[in-house]
Amino acid sequence: MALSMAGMIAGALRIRGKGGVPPQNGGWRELPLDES
Amino acid sequence: MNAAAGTGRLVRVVGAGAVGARLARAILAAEISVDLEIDDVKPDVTRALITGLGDRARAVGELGVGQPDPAVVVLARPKSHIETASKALTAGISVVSVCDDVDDVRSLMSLDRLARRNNATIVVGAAMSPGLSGLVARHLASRLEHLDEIHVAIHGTGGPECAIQHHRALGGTALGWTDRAWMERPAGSGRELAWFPEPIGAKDCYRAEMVDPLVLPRAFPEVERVSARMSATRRDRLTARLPMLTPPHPEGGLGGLRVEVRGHRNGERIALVAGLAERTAVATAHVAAVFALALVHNELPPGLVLPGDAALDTERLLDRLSAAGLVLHEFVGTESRSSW
Repeated sequence: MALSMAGMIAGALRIRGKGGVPPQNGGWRELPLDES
Repeated sequence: MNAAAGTGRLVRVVGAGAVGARLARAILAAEISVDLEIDDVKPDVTRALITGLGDRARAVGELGVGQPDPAVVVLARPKSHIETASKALTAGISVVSVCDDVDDVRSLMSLDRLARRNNATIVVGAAMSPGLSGLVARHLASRLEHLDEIHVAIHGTGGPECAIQHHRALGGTALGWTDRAWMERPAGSGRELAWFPEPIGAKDCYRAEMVDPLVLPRAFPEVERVSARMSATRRDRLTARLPMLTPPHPEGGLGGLRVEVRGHRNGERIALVAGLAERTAVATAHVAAVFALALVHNELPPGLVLPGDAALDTERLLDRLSAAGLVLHEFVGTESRSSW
């Protein structure tokens, strides 16, 4: 019983939440290959 | 420069799956004077591909005894590549491997001496990650005075075998290069939000058993930290250590690559980010094709070649990828907020 509870809690902790906040401004543009 | 054995204009593609089929088309489209041999364990798959490719492609052994050896063998099948690569190098035939399995890549990297002894070349990790990741990192690093960190993230998979490898990678042990030392962490840990080129956008990514931290420190000896992560859903992570619950899709969807380099320029610490949104099998096929044709043209040195190595003409390789239709993007307008 204790082991299954621990497993469930570990599983919930493993999948919850988010990894961060995306950038609030800026964006993608084509990479100029001859710039370097 | 390499002078491979065999016929200089014959390339053998081993594996006719999602990557192999595109790779064959990419080579034929890019180089009019190259012929192909297709080698796959499934004769019907080989035959179907050859029929679609036209008269410049044939099955291995079709010409019978006395047919010429290829100049290059491109390994686009599932692992392991080590046995086929060793045999080809021993015969003086150069090899391009798209392998993304850590153990297999480690073994392939040990073939440097064998390749040099036979005046042949082995390109290891000619895929999207590793492969394009190293080329993009080298391009970005050329804008820095000093490079010290490379962080790679990928999204999506190519064909079914790639999906199986993706599943395996989330359940294994993730390598990291930290302060010039190897570090092992459980795959599936270390969640970070990575921002890929549109239309992929932001994806939660996790440490995984990926090859970049193994090969990039060798291609960039000055780098102090290398990390690699892959996007995963909650179901991916929960089931990572179980057998795959659903069969992989025969054709992976849109994939993504994000490469962040960090270092110094003009006394300031800066981070540069570039990436790609493309079908993973398409990107992998084009990278492998570009390296195969570079070998056909004797543009690569004998021995081990890793994408991103300073000895390579990375800009020329990237130009060819661009000509093939791969569109790389860079993130501009704000500093990277990722913490890894």
